[in-house]
Amino acid sequence: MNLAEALEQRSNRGPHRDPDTVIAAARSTHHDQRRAFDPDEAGDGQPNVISLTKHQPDRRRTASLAAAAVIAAAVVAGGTLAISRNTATNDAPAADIPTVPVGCGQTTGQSSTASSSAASNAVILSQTVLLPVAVPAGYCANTVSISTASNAPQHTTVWSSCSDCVSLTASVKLVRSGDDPGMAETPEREHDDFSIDGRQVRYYPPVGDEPTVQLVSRDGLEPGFSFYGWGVTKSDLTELASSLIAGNDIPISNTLQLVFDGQLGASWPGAETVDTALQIHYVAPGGDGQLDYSYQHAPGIVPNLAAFASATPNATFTTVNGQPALVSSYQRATTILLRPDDHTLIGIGSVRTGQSTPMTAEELSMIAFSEADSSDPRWIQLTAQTASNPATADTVAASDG
Amino acid sequence: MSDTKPAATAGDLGDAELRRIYPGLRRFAAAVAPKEIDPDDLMQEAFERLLAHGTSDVVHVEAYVRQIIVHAASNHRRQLGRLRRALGRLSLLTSATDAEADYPSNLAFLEHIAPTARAVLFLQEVEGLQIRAIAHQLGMSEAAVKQTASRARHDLREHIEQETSE
Repeated sequence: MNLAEALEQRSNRGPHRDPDTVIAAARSTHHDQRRAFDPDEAGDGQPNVISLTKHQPDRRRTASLAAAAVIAAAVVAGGTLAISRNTATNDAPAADIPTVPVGCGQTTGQSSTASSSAASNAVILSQTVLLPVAVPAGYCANTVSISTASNAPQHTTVWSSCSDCVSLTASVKLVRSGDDPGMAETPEREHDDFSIDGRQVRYYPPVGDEPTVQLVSRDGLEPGFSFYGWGVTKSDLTELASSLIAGNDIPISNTLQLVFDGQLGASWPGAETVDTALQIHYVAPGGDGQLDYSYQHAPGIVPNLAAFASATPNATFTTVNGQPALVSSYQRATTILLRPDDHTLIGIGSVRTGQSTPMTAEELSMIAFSEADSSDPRWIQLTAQTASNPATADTVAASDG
Repeated sequence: MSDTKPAATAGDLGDAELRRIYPGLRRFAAAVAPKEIDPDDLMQEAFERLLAHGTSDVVHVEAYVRQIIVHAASNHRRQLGRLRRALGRLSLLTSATDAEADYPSNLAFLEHIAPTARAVLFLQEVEGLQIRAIAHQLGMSEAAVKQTASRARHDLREHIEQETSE
């Protein structure tokens, strides 16, 4: 094979995604980035609601999400979260981020007084901006405000149950009528409309080699909730839609896995084509009858660690730096490290592993910790100490990419 | 009185235009990107940067995206290098062969040159562009293109000879 042939062959390597999907994802991200700096784009006094991200996980976003998740988990647990740069950079450590409790049923906007000086050195989350949204009745919210290097305020909104105050989510997306950036430029496609309990639901069949996609509207045909998943069927997602419309929780025991594409997605365990990072979810019943929901990207946000550990496929036990750890990964791997005894989060790693060969649990866990040791100043270390277990110092690494 | 229209911004770039340039750029991205990087992910990254930057000062969108792709691929290569070194220290990567096991051996040699070099060679060998056109596409001087191509060919030759002798 000569050079031209080799280059030609390399240029055709796959897998191939639908160009329209790539373009839409790029536009969607661009839209969100602009909105991030214009918190009240509509000028109606209401904050924009920005989804976590718009596309399949890549290393940068996954790491940022993981960092957000850990912050959220630590704060909700009633602890404090110290953020400092990697010691190799000799930067001064930032101050603690205080927990800011907000009353049940209030909005985070009413009490979002988290210290803006906290973690002013933090450079994480530059891509992940979460703005406060209304908290449904029966739920409390805690907000962490983090200033980036550019001093743009960023918020991580955390919902926690009033009763047990476990961490539930690091991201919320409630879509205003006609205001879904991901949908606004979606061309008309073949679809199938039907209704569930009087709600209009629209189903989009798979396109090309893309996974099954369904989009569900909640009022007429305006964009509303969107689900999609790999290898799921129409009936699977119809069932999920029905459950959401009824305002039901979807218990974790279902091990329903949600993909994050700025949209609620679902994929069932056992689906052959599941290749997302670890996902886990919690769906909250809407206090106002609307389909309020939360969802989360699993690394770091684990509402019930024990349940997560038991429900997570591919989980293996290993040892990381002498610590026993539970590691789980999928093909496009994110790893999450949990102590097998109390399932405390001890680390997160994220790495793309190529097309089809999963890395071993040991490799992933080592990467997680080697990343934490990196002298790259963009890597920071987060140390979270939870109130429930003060003796536990959890360390994760995250990057702003 | 000027009759010039306002310069197009990235936001004005229609999907049709992006779709038109996609296939060629995707092939370019696949050739340039490290093997661990999904070409479509790189394309998305490039389009995001294009949209964020805008096109008011971009004369040739396609060339501009090519340059973004090369820069992004170079960044990914550096990051992957750090990762490999970390794995190497942990003895998880026992040899270079292991790292290339999931890639056809007759293509693996292309991994030994930098993304910029692959970009130059791709445009030269596959797309058949002249030095001047390559320089324009990649935002390089003609001298730099010649030098990059020459060094890349030398490195590839050396690598293949070394492999053959082993």
